Amino acid sequence: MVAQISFNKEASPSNYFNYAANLKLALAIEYATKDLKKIEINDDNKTAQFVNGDFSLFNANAILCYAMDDFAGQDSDEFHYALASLEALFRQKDIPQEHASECVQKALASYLTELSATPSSLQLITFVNAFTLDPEQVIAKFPEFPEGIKKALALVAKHTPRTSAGFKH
Amino acid sequence: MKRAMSDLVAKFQSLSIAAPALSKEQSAFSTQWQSVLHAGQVEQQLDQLNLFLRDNTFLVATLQPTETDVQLFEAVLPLSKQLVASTKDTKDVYAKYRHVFRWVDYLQQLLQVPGADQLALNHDLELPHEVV
Repeated sequence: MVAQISFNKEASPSNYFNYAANLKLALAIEYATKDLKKIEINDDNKTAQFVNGDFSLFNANAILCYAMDDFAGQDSDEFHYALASLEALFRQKDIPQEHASECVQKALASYLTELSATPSSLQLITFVNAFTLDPEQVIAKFPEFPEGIKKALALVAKHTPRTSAGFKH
Repeated sequence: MKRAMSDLVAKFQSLSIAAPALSKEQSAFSTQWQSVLHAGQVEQQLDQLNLFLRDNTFLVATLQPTETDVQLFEAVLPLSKQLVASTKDTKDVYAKYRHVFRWVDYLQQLLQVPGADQLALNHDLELPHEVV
């Protein structure tokens, strides 16, 4: 049985939410462990999902950690911050950009201090959430992304519908 | 730095239910529900929660509840009470979230939630058969 990933193609709940979820799915494909290297993209399904036989996940963070077989650090302040302070903003109708930038600044100063060629799943979750909210600030800190992230960014651009409403990407 | 533990999590730990060793799949389920909880998406994912609990007794697909169950329970209990209180069509809500309510009911008994704070369920209500 070949594992399948489908990207979120729905317009809701927000462009930020969809982009972050899709980038994590693209990273899951790029950084998957060898036993999952043949992940197919299912274009028929319109919502974020990972399916491998009877096993399925709908949450992009869980899909990324599963694909990398890396669940370390989930009781850390970084994991909590990446979700409660960054990701929680994605569902807001109007994201207060000044506040978002401050949160990203803190994430870069306290948690995402480096971005190695083989990042952990936790680093990637923090990276995606920060990059989604304020890409300029993240690019200013990391002018050259690792190859896996570059490939994932190209992949997500192909699979995320483009809309104009208040979104930086 | 450890975050403060809630009273319910402390109570759960006092029950001495051993934390099981998790498989890769169970660890992914744990990440999934922790992500939903910390990103403030519990209400939006209530349908997914019900679907998951249709096929699994607990949130990490274990035989006994884990801390993840208790942490989610703290967020789901008030939502469940709100759902039941805000509709005249109780039967419809019971039918839609029957697996969530089963799970809430088990945990509120296990954790000895005071009666006034519990989700009051009518166990005699006859529900339509579930279409799977």
